[in-house]
Amino acid sequence: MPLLHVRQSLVRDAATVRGVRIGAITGVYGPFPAATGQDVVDVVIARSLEGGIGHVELVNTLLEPRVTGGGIGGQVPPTVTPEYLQSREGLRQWRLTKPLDSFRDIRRKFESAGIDLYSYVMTIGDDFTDQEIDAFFKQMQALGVDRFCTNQTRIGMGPRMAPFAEKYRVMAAFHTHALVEDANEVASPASLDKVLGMSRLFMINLDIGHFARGGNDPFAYIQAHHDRITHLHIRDQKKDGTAANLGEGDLRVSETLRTIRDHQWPIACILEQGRTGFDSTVAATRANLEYMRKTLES
Amino acid sequence: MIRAVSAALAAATLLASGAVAAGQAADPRRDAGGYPAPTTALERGRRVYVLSACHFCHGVDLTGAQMGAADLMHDALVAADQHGEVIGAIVRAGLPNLQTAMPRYVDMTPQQVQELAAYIHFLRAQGRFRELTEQANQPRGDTVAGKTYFSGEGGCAQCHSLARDLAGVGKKYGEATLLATMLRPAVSVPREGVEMSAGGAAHQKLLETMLAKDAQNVLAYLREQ
Repeated sequence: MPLLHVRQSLVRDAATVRGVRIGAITGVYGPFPAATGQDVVDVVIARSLEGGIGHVELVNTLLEPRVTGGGIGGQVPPTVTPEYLQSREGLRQWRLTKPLDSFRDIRRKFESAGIDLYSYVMTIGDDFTDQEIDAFFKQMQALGVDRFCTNQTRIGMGPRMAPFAEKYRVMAAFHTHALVEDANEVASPASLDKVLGMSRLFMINLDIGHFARGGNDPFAYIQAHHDRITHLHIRDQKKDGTAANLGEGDLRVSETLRTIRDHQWPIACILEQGRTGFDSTVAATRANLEYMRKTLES
Repeated sequence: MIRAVSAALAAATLLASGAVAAGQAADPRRDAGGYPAPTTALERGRRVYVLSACHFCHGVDLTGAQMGAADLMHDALVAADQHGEVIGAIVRAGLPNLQTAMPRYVDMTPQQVQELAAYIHFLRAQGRFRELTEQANQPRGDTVAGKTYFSGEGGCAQCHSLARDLAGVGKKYGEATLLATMLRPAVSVPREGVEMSAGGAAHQKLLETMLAKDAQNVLAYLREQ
């Protein structure tokens, strides 16, 4: 059997363990240096196969043109420069005009490689036009994903997003952060209640690390709200925020994985953490997924 | 800092012909995106940057604001750092009060911190060089302001003189070459097996913080000679 087919087979077998889907967000096993003329998606797929990553959450910045001088969190910067305005408009036009076939091609590439393109990542900044939101949801349809991580999208955008989620039947999985005192941030349980009340297609992508840094208990939250969580961002850390390898921190990662397994909740566990002691991000990701796999099998 | 290295800077000849050629030959597009760093030490720093997943939030070229982190290319704290004193303190303490809280990397060794900081400064100089040389439609510089900067804030006059090492450079080189070499002379480009001189380090630091208008003003001042 050719090496590629062996890898594809191994990835497929390892992607779901005792009913729990495990995978990674592309950020943890990048960067993805593409040679001149090479499609970055091909690099992502090659690295996914190398790392045994069967469910991939693709970050939008890999595909989209860059914004120069953008604000933190995908928002308009405090100081708006001509370069920012020009590049931001360039990105908007890219979203409005990029042929949907190019997104269908991406889906096909992942399928051909035997990898599940599980989710996409997009911050819907406050300056998105309705046309831009509409174009993005069409891209989701073309990518064949029925959910996306909202990344740094803020609560105020929820009412504007809801009609598009309903129209295209794509779930917006609100990604949690740590700024619990900001009423516009997706961070506290109350803020999650707020977005969940806006649409049945609004779900939660619980980042257990960020959520805990905001003083919340991710394990308890998962147990109480598992029916509105599409996926977790899996990471570990000590209580005081000290970085820790998976399984060596205080976030009860193994208990979380086993609880999802034991209840067969359809919550995917997407890795968003590196691991010390490895020569490459792909090797570190492979080791982290191996930890998750062993945990689920034990 | 500029003053502290003035003696060493004096020994550096900014626009020696070899310096011009070598400075231009340096690849201005290196970032953390899979491109090896130019020296072994910087490569160790690159690996810390990537394997600690710094690039995920800060980007492969430091300008990762889209992912919620500070733009290290223009951040004042990075500008204030020399050899990891500031960067190391942040890396070890973490930043909890952010949308995307930064972890505390308490296990990072002092050597790793230094190498990480050196790599961040290298990346920043790369990016700033691109910004200052590739931005189109820059307003023409002011020669008087250029002279003021040359003699004052920029610290250039502590080591260079238009009557000595820089005599006639404005006529000898084209504008693009002069700007590129002024910003990044060969002595400030990291090379394997060559310890960067104090002058080179000072140029790299200046490049990290120099404003576009100051670069254009100094260029105009040099071109007038």
